[in-house]
Amino acid sequence: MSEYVRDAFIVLFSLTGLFFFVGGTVGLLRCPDLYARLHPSTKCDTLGACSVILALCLQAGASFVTLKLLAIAFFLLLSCATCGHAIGRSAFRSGVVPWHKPGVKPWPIEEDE
Amino acid sequence: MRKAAVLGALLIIGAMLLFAIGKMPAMNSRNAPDKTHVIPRYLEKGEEEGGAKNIVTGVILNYRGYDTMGEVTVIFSALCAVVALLDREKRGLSRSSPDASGVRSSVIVRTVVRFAFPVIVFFAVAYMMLHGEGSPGGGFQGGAILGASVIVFTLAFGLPESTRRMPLKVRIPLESTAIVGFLAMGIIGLAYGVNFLTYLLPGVHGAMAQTVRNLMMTVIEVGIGIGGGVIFISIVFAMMREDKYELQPDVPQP
Amino acid sequence: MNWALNLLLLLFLVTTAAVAIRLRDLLAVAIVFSAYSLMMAILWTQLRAPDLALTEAAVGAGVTTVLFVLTIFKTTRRED
Repeated sequence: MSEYVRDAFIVLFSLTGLFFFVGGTVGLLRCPDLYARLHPSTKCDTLGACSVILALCLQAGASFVTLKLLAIAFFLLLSCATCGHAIGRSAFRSGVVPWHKPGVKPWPIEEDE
Repeated sequence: MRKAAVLGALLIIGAMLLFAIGKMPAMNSRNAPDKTHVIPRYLEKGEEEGGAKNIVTGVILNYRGYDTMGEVTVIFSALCAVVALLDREKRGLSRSSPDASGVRSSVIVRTVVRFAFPVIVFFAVAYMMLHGEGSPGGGFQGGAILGASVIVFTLAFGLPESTRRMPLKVRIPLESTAIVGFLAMGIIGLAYGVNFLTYLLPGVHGAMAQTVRNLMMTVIEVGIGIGGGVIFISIVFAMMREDKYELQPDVPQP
Repeated sequence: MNWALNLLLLLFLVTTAAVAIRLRDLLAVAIVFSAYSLMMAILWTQLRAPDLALTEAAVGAGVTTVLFVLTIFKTTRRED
């Protein structure tokens, strides 16, 4: 019985990861500018990959492999979030203007037109 | 005319290569020499002769030790070329273009790098270099990861901080550890009256021989790792640096 | 099932190589080339060569990308 419960959870986590990966890819292709694209791609890395790793942990059971996978998930969370932040910040610092509707200013930014 | 000659030469070379390929044993054939001689020898006797549980490490350091030493020399020459082209950094002159913008990297990046840097160094030294003979990895990989960790540190904290932590007088001796380690371990073999780069010394038997061999291999691995890593760091520092050069004519003006 | 994954990885590998040749922006080429190295590393693990995979991931995706980007900063970004 517990086997089935475990398998169900593995499938559940894998599908969650798949959903976030697909969503991240679609967002990466369809979003208008760098800041909007950073949002889905970072989600894809953190939530999607961590869900898949969680499923793999359940698959591996209590072993040394699980420890390694958890370490991978931890460093993935850390590095992906930091990378997204660093890319967005440096883009903003170097003057990449966010996308907005023509004629509508998203927030007060100095913009030479 | 010239084109016809080139075409003819290419056709002849191509025909010769195709003829040679026709004589070669078929792909994945069981009668190919590497299947009948090389792979069985490595798989059966690699651990005993190579002295490492990871057969790749045994092949790299033992069967093809001279080849690896040549590669280490090539990396060292690359450093020499880069330094000759871009010049050593002198005291107080090191400044990179990201630092010149005057914006520090954010607190988040610096905190994460400060946390992750020791972990990466630990992974490179302990997991790659010291444990290279038992699991995948080795000196080159460890050195590359070590260099990459210092690059991450430099990107977060700036070149002046990074050159302060790893000054030139620390890096210069460490750059040559790879080649010096190889030569030292090779000369031990010569001193015992056997071939250059022999790990099994005459007069040392049994468990002692294994220990000595593992020790020598570990010295070479760590030497390659630290040497390669520091060479990479020096190359990147030399390339990142931006100096204001004043053009000075070689020949004194009359 | 393994052959499907390998086929996908090989297709992606060829695509990245072709894109790296066709692109004119050298910074984009450096990034595409690091993606190429990542695919190559996964293929090495598929071929049961973890040592080579580690080398490819560390040197190909990490070190050479840094060197390419630094060289582009020192020289020019457009290929003409």
